[in-house]
Amino acid sequence: MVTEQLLDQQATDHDTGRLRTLAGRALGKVFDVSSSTMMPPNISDDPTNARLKQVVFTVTECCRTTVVDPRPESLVPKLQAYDKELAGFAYEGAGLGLAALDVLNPSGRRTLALASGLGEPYIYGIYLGAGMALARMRANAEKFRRRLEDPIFGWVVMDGYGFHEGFFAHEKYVTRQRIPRRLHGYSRRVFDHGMGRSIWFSFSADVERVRAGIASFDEARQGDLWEGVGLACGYTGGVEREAVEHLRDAAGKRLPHLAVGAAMAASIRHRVGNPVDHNDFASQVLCGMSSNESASLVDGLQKGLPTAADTPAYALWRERIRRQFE
Amino acid sequence: MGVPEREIQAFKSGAGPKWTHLEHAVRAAVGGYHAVVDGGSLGDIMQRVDIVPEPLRGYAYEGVAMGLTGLDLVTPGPSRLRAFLAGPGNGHIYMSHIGVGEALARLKRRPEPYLARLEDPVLRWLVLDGYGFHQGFFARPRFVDHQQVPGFLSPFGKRIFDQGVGRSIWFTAGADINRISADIAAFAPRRHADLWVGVGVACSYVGGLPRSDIIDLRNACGRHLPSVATGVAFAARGRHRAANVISGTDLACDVLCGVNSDQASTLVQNTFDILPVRSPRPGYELLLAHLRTTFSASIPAPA
Repeated sequence: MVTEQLLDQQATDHDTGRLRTLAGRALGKVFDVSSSTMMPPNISDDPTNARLKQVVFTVTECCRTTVVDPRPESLVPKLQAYDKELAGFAYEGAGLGLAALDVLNPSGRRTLALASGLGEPYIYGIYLGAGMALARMRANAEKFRRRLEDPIFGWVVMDGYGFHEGFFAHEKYVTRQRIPRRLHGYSRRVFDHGMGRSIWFSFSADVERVRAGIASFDEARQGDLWEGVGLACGYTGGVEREAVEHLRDAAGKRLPHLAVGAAMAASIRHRVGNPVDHNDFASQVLCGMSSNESASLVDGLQKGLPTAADTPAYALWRERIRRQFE
Repeated sequence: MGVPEREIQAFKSGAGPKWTHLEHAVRAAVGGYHAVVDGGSLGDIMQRVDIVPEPLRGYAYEGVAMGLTGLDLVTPGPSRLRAFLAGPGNGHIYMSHIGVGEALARLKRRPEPYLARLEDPVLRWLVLDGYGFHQGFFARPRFVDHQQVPGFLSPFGKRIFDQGVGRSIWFTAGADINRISADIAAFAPRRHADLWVGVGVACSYVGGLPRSDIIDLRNACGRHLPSVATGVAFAARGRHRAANVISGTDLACDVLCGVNSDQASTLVQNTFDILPVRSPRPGYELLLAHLRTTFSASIPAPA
């Protein structure tokens, strides 16, 4: 009872907290940040954050579009209308909206329908967005994942879930490093990929802060966090080549993990034919090869993975990739 | 957050016309909710719910508010719930606020921090009513059979929570007066008055009982008749405001308030009109207190 009151008080304190910075304000507004959704810490206003804001705007705008008309035949043309470079984020917004509808409607399978239909090339983005919705709606993410029956990409919802918690419940999950108790087994590791991505965002892609932030975590979690950073760096971008070189040095012995993320990012972007500069130099610096090469490597290693729905084939895949960089 | 068929059915522990009447109410609410989660603009949604028969339409609006509250969590930009409350939802504004509370319960959100987002300083407390209803309805063993109350609610929040729980008992007890009385008797005495308010709301809003049953209710509630009458009158105001009064509302007002539903509604509206603009106590608390005092004076409690 006393604990509950304390928690309640804490929630109230958070409510009155001010969103300190521009990006924070933008995020707070679009997500209607409340007591349960902590503000992101210290995001400053510079080109890196301009990029992050552009990404967030695309995701949230597409989420709204999706909720108003979720039918794939009318939704997909709207998503395709985005600049190709941003399309992945547009689909992420769609995944967010569709998963929200699926959570609200027990018989809903809209997320799966898009990801296995017209949106298939963007399955990664769709499931990242879906994971965010699951976190936001406090839905049973494990159940949602199992329902997708996809031993590879189904796990990506946990990445989105972890991103959401790391970003919007930063204090709880990044500062206090709480374990997501509702997730189990390999889900917790993919959750950490998302956490790593959120760290990249919430520390404004500042390499030293990212390094220090990850170093404060339990050793066992650091590899997965770096994988998330690698993905964010290669997929979302927002920094110059020089910063990626610093990142490579900062990762130290975790460089193979960082490279997995960058290589995955290359694969995701090449899959839909929209590699961008930051994607390419991230691959060069972190994987030691062009993004074209790392994408082929990743795609090649996907072949022959086990297909039983409950085996984390996704884990084996990433493990194979990591071994290439050791 | 979905409401699967088995959950819709789960509240029923009997059969017959009374249960069917209640099920229609539940189904109308779930239908309104699905009108939202099937996707669409506010205009699309309203088209879907405005075909619900007039007497049941309030429930559908309750469901719409529930769905919009859920989707607001992920959709950026202006709140669609607030647009609904200020626009088409205004006709069924009581029910709409109740739907918000049901969504918050389902989404494991604390209701009171949410109140600041809602415009109407009096009616927003109905969110707690919806919250309590949801818990009593979908988690009856915990909140009715074991009489738990969420520790994080404020003292006044707990009272409105209990009104919602009382209303849920009407449903889960199949509007059976004996079962309702027994359920309430198991609660701590200090909670009885608010639980009876909720029973009054249900009796007047949901209807479906013959006069003889309502007379039984009047006898069963004993000294809590002014609380029951408060709920009855409040619901009558809700139905009059939405222009969808049913015969059950008239009957409940006649037997439990001693006035017709028009008069009961006017009494509530007059009370709204005299609420102070600023007060350290919630306007809704003042409203309830005033109505209870009025009914205490006007209807003699049975010996």
